Parts: sequence; C-alpha cells; structure tokens
Amino acid sequence: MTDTSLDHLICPQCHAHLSHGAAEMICQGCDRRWPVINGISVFSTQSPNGQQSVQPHSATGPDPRMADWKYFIPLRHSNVALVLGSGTGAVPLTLAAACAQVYVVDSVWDNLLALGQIREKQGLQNLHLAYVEGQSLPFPAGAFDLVTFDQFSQDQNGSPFTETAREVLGLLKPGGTAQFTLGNKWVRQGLLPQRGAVGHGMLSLSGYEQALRTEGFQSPQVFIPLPNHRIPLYFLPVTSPEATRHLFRALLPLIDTISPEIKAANRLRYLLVRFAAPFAKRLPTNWALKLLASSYIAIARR
Amino acid sequence: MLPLLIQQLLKDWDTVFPSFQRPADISYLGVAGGAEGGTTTFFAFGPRQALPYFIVKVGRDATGGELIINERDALLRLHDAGLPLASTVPNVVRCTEIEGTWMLVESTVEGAPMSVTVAKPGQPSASPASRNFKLATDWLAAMQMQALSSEMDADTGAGLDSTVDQFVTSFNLSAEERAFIDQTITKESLTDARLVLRHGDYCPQNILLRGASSITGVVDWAFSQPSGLPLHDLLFFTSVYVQNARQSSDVLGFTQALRYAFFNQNPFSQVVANHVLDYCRQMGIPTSTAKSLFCVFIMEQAMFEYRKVERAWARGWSAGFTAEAGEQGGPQTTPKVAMWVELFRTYVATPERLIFQ
Repeated sequence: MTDTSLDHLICPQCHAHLSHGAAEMICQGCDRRWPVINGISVFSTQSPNGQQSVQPHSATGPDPRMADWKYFIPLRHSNVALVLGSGTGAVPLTLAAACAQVYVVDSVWDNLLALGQIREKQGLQNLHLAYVEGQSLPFPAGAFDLVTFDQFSQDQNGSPFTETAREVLGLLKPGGTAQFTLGNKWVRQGLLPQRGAVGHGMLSLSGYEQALRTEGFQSPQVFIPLPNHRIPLYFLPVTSPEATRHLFRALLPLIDTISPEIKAANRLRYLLVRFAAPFAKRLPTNWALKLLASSYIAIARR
Repeated sequence: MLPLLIQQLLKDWDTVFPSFQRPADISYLGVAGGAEGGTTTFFAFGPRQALPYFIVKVGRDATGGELIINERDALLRLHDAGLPLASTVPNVVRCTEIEGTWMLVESTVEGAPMSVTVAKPGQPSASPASRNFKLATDWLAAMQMQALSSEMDADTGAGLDSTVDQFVTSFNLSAEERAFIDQTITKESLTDARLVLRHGDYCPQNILLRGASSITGVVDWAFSQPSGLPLHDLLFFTSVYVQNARQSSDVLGFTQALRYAFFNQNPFSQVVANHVLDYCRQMGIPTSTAKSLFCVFIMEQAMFEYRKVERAWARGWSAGFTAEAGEQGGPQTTPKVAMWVELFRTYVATPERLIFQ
C-alpha cells in the first residue's frame, strides 16, 4: 500500500483514518490492525479464501470493451474512482489508465489476486485493491468522482438495489458520477432465463430508473449493452428510438459478421434481432429491446 | 469524455453544423468494433433525428490515438486534393485530445454496409459477389489513380525488407520457404508497382452502398497508409468477404476460407481472379508483379495480426481473439496469425494454383 492509497481508506469499524504498519494498516481510532496480503488490503475478520496463484490470461479475461461506457461520462485525469466488484478486471484496468487513483473492492479473493498480478506486470501504482468481507466499506463519504457497481460481481445475498444506490450516492463527491451494470429481472428470473443468472436485487428498467431518481441521482441515462455486458459490441441508448432504428437499418450487416462463438452464446437474441430487422421500422423494436435486454448500463450524477 | 467533447462542439455549433438546429440533448449509440482495433465509434443522435448528426471515433489508448490521427490525415488528404471521390469519404469536423483521449468528429456518410450473400453455407454467391467486387475494384482503382502516388522509394524498400525479415524470424521459415520469398519478391518484380494511398481496412463493412448499385461512402481510414504497395486493399477486401460468408453461416475455418478464395477453382474465386486482373489493368500492374504483391500482402497481414496480439498481451488484455492461442505457443499460434502463415505455405507448395496467373 502507498501513502496515496491511505488518503481514501478508513477503518470500516470506527471510520477513523489508517496509518501504515509492517504489512498492515493500523486504525488511528480503535487501534485495530488490518493486514495487507500480496499488496491487497484485507478488511475481514477471517483470512481470505482462494488460491495463492491464479492465471490472469483466461478465455474470459479482461476485454477493454466492457468499460466502453466510460466514454459517456466526463472522466478527468485528476479523478478518483471506486470500483465495486472487479469482474474480469477490464473496468479497473481501463480506469487506471484514465484516472489519478482507482480503488477496487471485491469479496472474491481470487479476482483480486488475478488483478494484482496484472497490476504488478503493468506497474500500475494507482490501482489499489481491497478485500472486504462482512464489513462496511472502508471509505469516507463523498470521496469519489466516480463509483462503478457491477451487480453481476455480487453474491446471491446482495443488497436490494435501492440500498446499493443510496450507498453509492453517499460515496460520491457532489457532481460525481455513478455507473451501474445491472441485470434485467424479467430476463434473469423467468422470460429468458440465463445460465449463471443471479436475481437478488434485480429490477426492471423502469424500476432502476425510479430507484435512482428516488435516491437522489440526477439525469440518469440507461444504455443496453448488446449482445450483453460482458462483450458489449453495441451500447444502445434506451431513450433514442432513432438510434435503435439506425442500428437495425444501417448496422445489421455488421451483426452478421459477429463471430459464430458470440452468436452461439447469444443465439436466441441473435435470432430475434435477425427476425425483427426487416420490420424494424414498423415494429416497436425499442420497446422490445428494453424488455428483452439481459443487462443495462445506467449512468447517473449526484 | 463525450460530455466534454459536446461542450466544445456546442460552443461552435452554428459554425460546425450550420444545417442542424442546436440540440437540447444528444444520445450516443456506441459501436465497439474489435477489441484489438484500438478505436471505438459513437453515433450522435438528436431528438427525432433519423440520421446521426455526426460520428465520433475515439482512441482507446496511445496506439488508438495514433490511429485517430492517421484517419484524420487520410481524410484531410483526400479532401484537400479535391478529388471527385472525396464526396464519398467523411469530412473531418474536429480532431481533438481531451484528457489524454484522442477524438475525431466526422460527418455522417449515408448508406448501408455492403452485405455478403451466400450460395451454400460458407460460400459467397458468385453473382452478387461479381457486382460487389466491381463496385469495390472500380472505386479503389479510381481513388488510387487520383490520389498522389510515387515510385518505389528507399523508405518503402526498407520497410518491405523489415517486414520480410520479421516474417522470416517470427515464423521460423524453412530454407525452401526463404528461397521462395527471395525468388518471388525482388526489386525488379516490384519495379512496376507505383505506391498508392492505402485504405488499410478496405472490407465490405466499411463500404457503404445505396441499394446495390453505387458506393456512397468508404469509411474507417484508421489503418490507412499515405504510400503503400498497391493491390493490398483489394486482396484484403477478398479475404474479409469470404470470411464474412463463412461467419454469416457459422462455418468455421479461416484458412479454408482463404484457400477457397485464392487457390481453389470455384465460381467465387473466378470472380476474385477477374477483378484482381481488372484492377491490375487499371493500375498498370503486370500479372507477374501481382504475384509478388500477393506474397507481400500475406506477410504484411501475418505481421499486422502478430503485432496486434503482442500489443494486447503486453497490456494484459485477453480478449477472445488472443485467448484461443496456446499459452506457451506465442502470438504465432493464434488463429488470425496462423491462417496467414498457412496461406503462405500453401502458396509456397502450390504457386501454380494461385487463381490469377
């Protein structure tokens, strides 16, 4: 851990500042010691479980397109970002190239180990990793310009979305931006059930929009990542039927050239799009896409 | 970054987009493109606006930034030269670096990307292919004849030598294969090849059509080269065309696709041969030179894909296109690199079967 990293970390139990010890952080309020293992701050009463060595290059490794939503927000080099849920590492790694400091929180030790290996290989000194399990988040209120939350990185016992949104809002500086990767409850829980689906805390599109507004976020924007948030070849703004029509009219031949592997993984959606394309001008395709999207990317400001 | 860009554009809106009313809001449709490509594209829509106001190309990193500048330079060169075909390429509206990210704002070009139809799974239909190849060949030859070109120069010769050296070293070629390169690519064999403005990604997706009869736009000039050897773009167009046919019908096998287009006798390869020869006629390139250019094309493509994988691995990315590689095998084992080497070996083994003789 570096001195800079401590600027944005607090004790999750008493919320006092932390100071460096030997391979640990010491709370200046309650004197509690939080270990640092393999360069990862551990905020847990139990030792993290996982392998001690993981292979960062895997078939589902970081794909920079997963973080292309970053172009929709006014990101600056001076920004400090918090990533809640490291996923494949694509989001932390791309943000590390664009922000002054990036903090990553995960409750999956292996994800953090894999990310730590890439961090070391690339010499990324502004990427700080924290393992948090059974504790509140070790960050002060209003500390971040950007907070990202990946619902798919959370476990089955994740909080209801309204609670998550409230917590994220509290971590943001005034004018800061939140980004949420969210599952569509209609798809995940029944209509087009998916392998590995998680359902807890998921809402419909209108449910998310309403929750964000209720919790105090300003001007939420929602995009549909197609075919899904893991390999988002397209980001479709839900408020623009013109963009949807353009996608069908002008870009459909590009969809045909998607690799067979991606088509196979999203066969039903691909077939629906192929079927709907000739009728796109007459059919309410925008409405259908909103309903059938497997996930959403929501961006909102404090 | 896009909100910061639009702040700049809105200040000068009436000057930059005189035909569009200043919008209250803009929505962006993102088109990511290949993970290895280095750039991503956004279409900017206003309320009740059927066509995008403009297109923004964004460099993902430093390499992507170079591609953005490359595209800007190619578009400016085409427009500055006042070529008749300049109306079919986007205008540069603005090119700027915001918070370390290069962004190129371009005008919209109307039209739908050229589509590939198949006769049987994986095999392009010859008749539509003939029409598409004629459009692509004529546009390319006209552009490259009109754009400034020059004789082979020392820089290009050195670049070519470097590509050959890297190819030989990277793929551990046999003595027979090295001898084939020495015989096929000589200074004399390339004497008649005038350097041209190369598009660099001339493929059906980047050629926009109105109906099926005319090209309305050629987009995506990020990989362009101000002076490259000719024929490359048409051979690349052919490679992507046949691969699109296979992908659209879920037929796997990159190398088989390339052999089908360049070494097998079939209705599609006949279309390819006719248009390669037609292009050479229009450009004044002898057939013997075309064979040398084909060899150079394969090596350039192999090294291009090789470097893309190297760059991606250096950055820690492991997207699908590199993940299939054997962990110990190195970039040369990834399918998109290996297919070019296999095509090269096909050429060495059976040069008499190349479809344009």
